[in-house]
Amino acid sequence: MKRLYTAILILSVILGASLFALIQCYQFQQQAVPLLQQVLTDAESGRLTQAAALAKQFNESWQTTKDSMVWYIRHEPLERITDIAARLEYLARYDDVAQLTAQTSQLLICVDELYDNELPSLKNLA
Amino acid sequence: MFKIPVLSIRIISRIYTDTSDTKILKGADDMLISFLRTLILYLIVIFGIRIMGKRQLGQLQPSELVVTILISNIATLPIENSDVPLILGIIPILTLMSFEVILSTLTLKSLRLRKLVWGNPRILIRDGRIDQKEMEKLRYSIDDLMEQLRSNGIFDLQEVELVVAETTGLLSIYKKSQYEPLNAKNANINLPNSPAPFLVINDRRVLSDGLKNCGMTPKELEKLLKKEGYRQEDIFLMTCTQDRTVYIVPMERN
Repeated sequence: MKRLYTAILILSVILGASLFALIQCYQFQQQAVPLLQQVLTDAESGRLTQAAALAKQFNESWQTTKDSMVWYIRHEPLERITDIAARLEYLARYDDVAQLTAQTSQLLICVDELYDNELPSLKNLA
Repeated sequence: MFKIPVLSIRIISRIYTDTSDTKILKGADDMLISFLRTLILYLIVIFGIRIMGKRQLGQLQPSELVVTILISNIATLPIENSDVPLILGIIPILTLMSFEVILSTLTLKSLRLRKLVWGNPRILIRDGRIDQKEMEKLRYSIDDLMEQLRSNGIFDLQEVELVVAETTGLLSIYKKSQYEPLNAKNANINLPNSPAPFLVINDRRVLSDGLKNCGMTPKELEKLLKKEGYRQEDIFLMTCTQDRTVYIVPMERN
């Protein structure tokens, strides 16, 4: 019986940890998407200083989130986000609007995918 | 004031700026990470097998075989690829292990579930006659049957009374009585029961389980050793039965 209880405990811990991971991804998506959409709006309307500030803010918050996500998400999509996030501020600062909007859109897709891939949906199970 | 020697600064800056050196350092890091990941997964797999119990180490039932194969394959993924977080290797291993424990507990309680998961033993030879239909159902060829019989020391089919294909895939064989080897029972000889010996000292260390099994206390063991003229440190192996029959192998002196 001891083994059975251990197995049930392990399964509960696994389910708890999975739920925590899912919630963390969801929270990150909820914070990041409006921020990145604002960067896009600022870039398209020529407010590049604000866009640079927001991009910097995103990069800083991503650094802390990434450190915990690296425990349970494959490193490749995380590295892709880090890579793009590091560029955004400088693209805004040096007035490269075309690249800034393109990279921000790509980042939005990456952030959405990060959460979508964690969902236990049929698409992901298949 | 504490000063960092100029040479140290040069060495450090060279390490962090020179690409070839950085690559070497990264390579060394990867090796260490790979080593540590392997160690962690090794411990997790050992823990998993231990939790699944002794059954997993003996003859495997179909579900146990599947779990064992899956665990060994999953464990290699995070070892081979450092982009895969370790937890993505650990979670499937622990999940499989937990489900295996739960399933085996449930099959203990429910005969129907046991039959569903592990199947039934099937009789291949009954009253010395081969059940050809059953063999066909199990896709068991005559070569397979003969091979298993031979590996059990039977070369003549006429010696066999009953053969059962167990759920583990092994055959259990019951010989006709005239082919059974002679023993005390079929020779009608009454022999007293001899108690089984238990290992009490293993390479100079006293085993508490062994002592308990032969109903002896440490003090009694000490007395017994004194009587036999040994010290515990001089004994390589000692077995003892409940009626205190001992067998001692002393340590060889160099």
